Amino acid sequence: MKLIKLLKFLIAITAVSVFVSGCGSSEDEALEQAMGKDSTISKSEISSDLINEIIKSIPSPVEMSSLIREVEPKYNGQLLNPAANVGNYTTNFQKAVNLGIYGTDLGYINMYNEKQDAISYLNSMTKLAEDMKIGQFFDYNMIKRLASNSNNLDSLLYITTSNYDKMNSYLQEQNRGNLSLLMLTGGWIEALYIASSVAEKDNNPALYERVGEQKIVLDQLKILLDFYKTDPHVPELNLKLKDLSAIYDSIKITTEYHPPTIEIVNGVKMVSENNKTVIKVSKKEVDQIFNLVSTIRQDLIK
Amino acid sequence: MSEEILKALMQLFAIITKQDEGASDDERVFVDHFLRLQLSADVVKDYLALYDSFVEGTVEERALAERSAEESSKKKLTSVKDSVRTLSICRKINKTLTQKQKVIVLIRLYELINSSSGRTSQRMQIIDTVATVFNIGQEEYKLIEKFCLSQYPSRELDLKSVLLLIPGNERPVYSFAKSIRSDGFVGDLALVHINSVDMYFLKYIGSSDILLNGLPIHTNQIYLFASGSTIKLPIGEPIYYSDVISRFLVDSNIQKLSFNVEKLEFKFPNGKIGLKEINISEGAGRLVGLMGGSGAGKSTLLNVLAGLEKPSNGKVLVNGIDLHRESKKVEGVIGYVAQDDILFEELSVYQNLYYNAKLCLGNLSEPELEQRVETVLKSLGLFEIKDIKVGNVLNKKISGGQRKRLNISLELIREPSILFLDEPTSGLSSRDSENVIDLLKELSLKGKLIFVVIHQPSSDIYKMFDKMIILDVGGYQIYYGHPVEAVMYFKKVTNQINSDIGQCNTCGNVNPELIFNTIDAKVVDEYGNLTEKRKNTPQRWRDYFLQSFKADKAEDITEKPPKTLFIPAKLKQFGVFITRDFLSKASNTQYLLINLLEAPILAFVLAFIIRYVDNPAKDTYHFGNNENIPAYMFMCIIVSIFMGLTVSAEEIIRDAKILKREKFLNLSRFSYLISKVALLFTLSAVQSFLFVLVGNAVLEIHGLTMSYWLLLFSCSCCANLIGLNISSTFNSAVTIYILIPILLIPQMILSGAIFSFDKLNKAIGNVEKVPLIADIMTSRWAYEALAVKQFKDNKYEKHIYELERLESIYDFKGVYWLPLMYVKLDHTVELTGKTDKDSRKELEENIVLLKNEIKKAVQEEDIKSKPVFDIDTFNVKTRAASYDRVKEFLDVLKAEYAVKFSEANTIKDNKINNALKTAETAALFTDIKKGNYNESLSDLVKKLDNKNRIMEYKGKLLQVFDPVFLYPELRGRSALNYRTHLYSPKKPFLGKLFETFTFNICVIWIMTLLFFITLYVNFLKKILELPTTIKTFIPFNFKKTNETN
Amino acid sequence: MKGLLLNLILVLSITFSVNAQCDADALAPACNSKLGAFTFIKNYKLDPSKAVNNVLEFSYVFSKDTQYFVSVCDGKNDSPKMEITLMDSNKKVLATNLEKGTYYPGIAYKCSTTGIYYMVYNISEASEKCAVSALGFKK
Repeated sequence: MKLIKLLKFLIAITAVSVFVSGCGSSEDEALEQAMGKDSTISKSEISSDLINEIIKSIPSPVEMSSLIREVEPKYNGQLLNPAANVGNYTTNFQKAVNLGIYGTDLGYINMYNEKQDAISYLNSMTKLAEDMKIGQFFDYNMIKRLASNSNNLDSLLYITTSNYDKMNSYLQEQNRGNLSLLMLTGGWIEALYIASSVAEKDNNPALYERVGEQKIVLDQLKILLDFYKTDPHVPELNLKLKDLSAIYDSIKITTEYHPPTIEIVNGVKMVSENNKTVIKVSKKEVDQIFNLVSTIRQDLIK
Repeated sequence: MSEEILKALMQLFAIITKQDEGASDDERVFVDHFLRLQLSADVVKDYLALYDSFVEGTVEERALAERSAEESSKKKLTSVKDSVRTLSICRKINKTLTQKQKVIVLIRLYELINSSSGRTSQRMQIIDTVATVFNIGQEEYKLIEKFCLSQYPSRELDLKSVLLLIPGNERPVYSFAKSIRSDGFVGDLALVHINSVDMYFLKYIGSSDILLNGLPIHTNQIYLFASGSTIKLPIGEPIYYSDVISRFLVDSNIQKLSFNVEKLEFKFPNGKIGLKEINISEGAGRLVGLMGGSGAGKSTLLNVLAGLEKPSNGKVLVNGIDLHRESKKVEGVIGYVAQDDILFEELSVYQNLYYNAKLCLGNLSEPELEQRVETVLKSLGLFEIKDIKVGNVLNKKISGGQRKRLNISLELIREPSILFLDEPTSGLSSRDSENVIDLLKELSLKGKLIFVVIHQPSSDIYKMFDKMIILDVGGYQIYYGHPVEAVMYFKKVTNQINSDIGQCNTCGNVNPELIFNTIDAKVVDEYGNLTEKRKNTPQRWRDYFLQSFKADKAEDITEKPPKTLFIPAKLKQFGVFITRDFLSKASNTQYLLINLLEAPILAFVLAFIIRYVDNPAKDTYHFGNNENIPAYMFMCIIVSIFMGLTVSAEEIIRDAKILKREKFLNLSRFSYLISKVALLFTLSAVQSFLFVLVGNAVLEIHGLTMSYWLLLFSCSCCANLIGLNISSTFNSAVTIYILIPILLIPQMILSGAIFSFDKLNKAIGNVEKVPLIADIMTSRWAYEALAVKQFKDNKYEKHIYELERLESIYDFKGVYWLPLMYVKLDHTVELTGKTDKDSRKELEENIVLLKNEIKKAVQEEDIKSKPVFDIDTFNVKTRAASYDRVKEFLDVLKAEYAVKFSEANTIKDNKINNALKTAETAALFTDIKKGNYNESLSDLVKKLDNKNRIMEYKGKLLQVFDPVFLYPELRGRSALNYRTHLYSPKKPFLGKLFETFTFNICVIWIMTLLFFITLYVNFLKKILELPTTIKTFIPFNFKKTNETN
Repeated sequence: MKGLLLNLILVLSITFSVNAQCDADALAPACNSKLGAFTFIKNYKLDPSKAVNNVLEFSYVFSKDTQYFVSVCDGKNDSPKMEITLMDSNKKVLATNLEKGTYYPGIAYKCSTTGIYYMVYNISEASEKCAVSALGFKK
């Protein structure tokens, strides 16, 4: 009798679990529907070589990080995009942009020699790079070794920048320049964000100037992003950058041209520009820039 | 006496006694006396009162009758009324009482009449009515009447169905009645056999103290003489039930049987002599005893005679057929009851016998079978305890004697023509022993030939045997003949006094111990102390015997020996085995609890402990981020294998003795094994199910429940069979349990989960494919199957797996393969100019590699571009397939790979973007990903920790990265070319690609089948016994046995 | 004899055609280490197959108050015979590494105006056509 009860119990459980597992399939269908059928986007008509040329001109975030380090001795890890967010990025757009952002973050961290953070950001970048199939440029072990060793800042800087550069070159060569662009854009936005944040606090004139000068880069970026309007997320970003442009329009840059001086120093040809440039940027504008960039960035990193 | 009968009797008594003159005091005394014999004092009063009330009731009527005085019609009315009442009572009785009980009622009525004035016509009429309504045949009724009312049985009862006891010196004068002589008997004792109900009744008229089953019997009273009863007389031998029935049985049904043993010898495997020139000659219907001191060879002889062991010399002839050489012809004739307990502890007495009967008596229908079982149980006095569980020796539920009787009943139920019993009375009380031997005697009277090894029998038992064989140490036959005469023989041979007296004249006792004392008598030294040396060696005893007795050999009967074993068909056997085993397990609560709870508890503990939340701040569990999942999958498999092994490890060894018997009966080992396998598989299925249910629920693994179950079930089943193999091979449970971890550890090492196959010792490991030695491990197949399944087919990945695969393939080709090819190509050119041996060798290797790789690239179906040359003719020097051409081809490939990669990547990205369009679908997407796609697992199957992604190996370039995305090469249609790298998503077989999950599970089942085959042929045992088997073939034998005399 | 000569020619011709593949990546580390005090920014691959009329052009946004160094390495010569011309956003020539017939390995440029600057490389005179350019900065 016990046996029959046991059997009944078992049958009941089987039925329930089969039913429950059956229920999950409606979720399945919903997702499949959401994903839709296989489709490719039409390729851009512009030759990639041309685009690549322009992309190459976007500055590397290492310069900005270097400047910030000079100005602000204190490291502020809170500014950065949390390394754990890496799990949220699933589309190419998100991955590329945030790889760029993390690149800037890593540069910032390296400047302050924060070993612990360096490793976590390195991990996140490796993951994104692998996902994007450009992981081969990340010599993870080498970088980790260098990051743990405080005396090797130069080597560390070199390796991370060099990898970053190689990744971008590769993407461009592989007809995936759009991702390279997104990386650079992300890296630039992050650099601008950190710079404007520090500038806002410190009121450092050099930083103010640097923030104000970004108009030139911004213009380049807008042109480039325009080429990729078939990518679902790019137009949205571009629109936001246009808003940023509007703020920059009120910043006046005037240059007085003077001829350069040329010298040979230690077997190296040394050319010094003698122009005088004045960038009129007020605190208000920097604040505006900061706020807008923050918003744009927030959307990108979530 | 049951209440029903008593009440009926009271009524009937009342009716009868009140006839004619009414109830007399004598009669009342009789009723009272009668009740006292059956019941306890307080209940007697109630029934007596009942009787009185019945009688009273009729008194009123009598008063009525008196008032209408002397009206014969009224009298008649009374008797008619009584008749009617009698009829109604009898009809009521008919409904409730059995025929036997009715006969008893009838007899009691006669007794009643006997007690008083006796038979008036009215009374007789009533009894007549009773007999008629009871459907007792006229003849029998008259027989009963005669028997009950006779005062001088010895003179009056010369009838066919009567047995009379006569004094020994009188000559029998009966033409119909049977008789037993008893010296010194005084009085009149008669037994009647009522054929229709097969009952015997006893009546004694006289003044001696006669005991029936230990209780004194009263004169002129009728007693039921039941099976196993004994009548003890003041002088002379007791009269046993079997003595009685032997007189009554008709001889016609005895089968013709001859059992001849000629010069039988037996040698143990170690060379020692077990039996030395045994000669036996017996026919049907005998009870033969086998006695001897310790080490004499009794059990050995029994085993050889029964056919369990093969003699080294001589033969055993059953009806002229050599038992050992032509065993098939003698199948089913012989029965054997071992000393060992072969009962199923968890089953009841009834069930044990029932299932055994089903296996032996396949020719009986179900009701016939049940009837037979009941009969046997009753005859062995086990009917009252039939529903009690047998229990084991330590936890007895039934007594030792009852166990023994049950063991005997297993063989007894089919009443084999020749039966061998090894010490059936050991451990039994003297009463039980007598019962058993009595039963055996009864069987022998029915025509069976029974051999019994008996140890220290009591006098009564000793005398029951027809023949006695006595063995001495070393297997010497030192006596073969009548038991009582044995005493006399041994006395005579050793010149003892009273050698013509076998048994005690006054008490009839025989002392078998005397025989053994004589045999074993030791030499006394000069101081009068006993030494260790025997007066007579076994050989001398043997010689004495041979001198004193001449052997007569019975004629070999040429008829086929009677077969009483009817084994049912294999399917039916299977049915019995599985029912029996199932009931046995189901009744064992401890077993059930442990085995059913084991799985879910283990699963819960495991899953609970490793339910890791990676973000302590958020405290929500995500399957995707649980780093322990790959380890969990591994543990699942190990646990299944472990459970499978432990559940099955003891199965066969537990049944070892029963199996021996079943082999003796020639029952199908195949059916037995299949039944075990079926039960174990069912258990495994349930365990796996419970495990998966609990484990996957705690760790929130969605959607692949059935796959997990199927895999773990397959593992368990395979382990079940491995366990059964071990169980069938080794003799002790301890060995088996030591083996379990020894088996489990290689499974863990070579599963591929802990140690990577490409990082093992070069002799074992392999970079290209999974090493062959790992392919024999169930765990390796299981783990790969589960890992690949969980990665590929989970609710998230399944939508994009194919795209990711294409991405991986083309990325690998573009990023790793092509650059290396370019390098190799350039290197080839560099080496061309060199002339030293090393360079030439390297050049050759390079060229081989390039050729192989280009060929492989060309075979890819998806690639549109094909080289415009024949790669086989690649030679740096010739123009046709020169360096340029190859490089051109590589460039083209490069472009194509880039395009294909981009395509796959774009499609995938679009899909994901589509899914993220609305907040709702985005949430669904994220949930599904976090809940179904495990990061650690994907790292594992993509071998992300591997630093080398491409490797040169044996003239090929191997991809050692992203194995789960790499389809294996199809290398021809051979079935053996299934080997490929670990975590491959598909397996090549017979020229096609099959899903890894399906393929691996099939492999596990093939292994399971293989293990079944090894189990059936007992392969492992044979391998282990190889050294000893080889030894027997070696002709030399240094040790000479001390067989000088 | 004739056969051997033929073989030799073939081998030589093949050897020459090897250089069709320009592996600038291999040259980069050595080149980058020559930056010295300048912090590395990026490399430009000077792939002759991509050159138009032996000329390759790249651009970068230089920031004011920063010094930059543009170098060129071919792995064989210390000062490859490649002319680097630096131009401002209006394509006005600012400097070149060729001075009185001497090819200097690079140009150090002190920038005071943020903007796009163009670097033009002329490989017509170079013995090794495949080269890499390294760009570094210093405050």
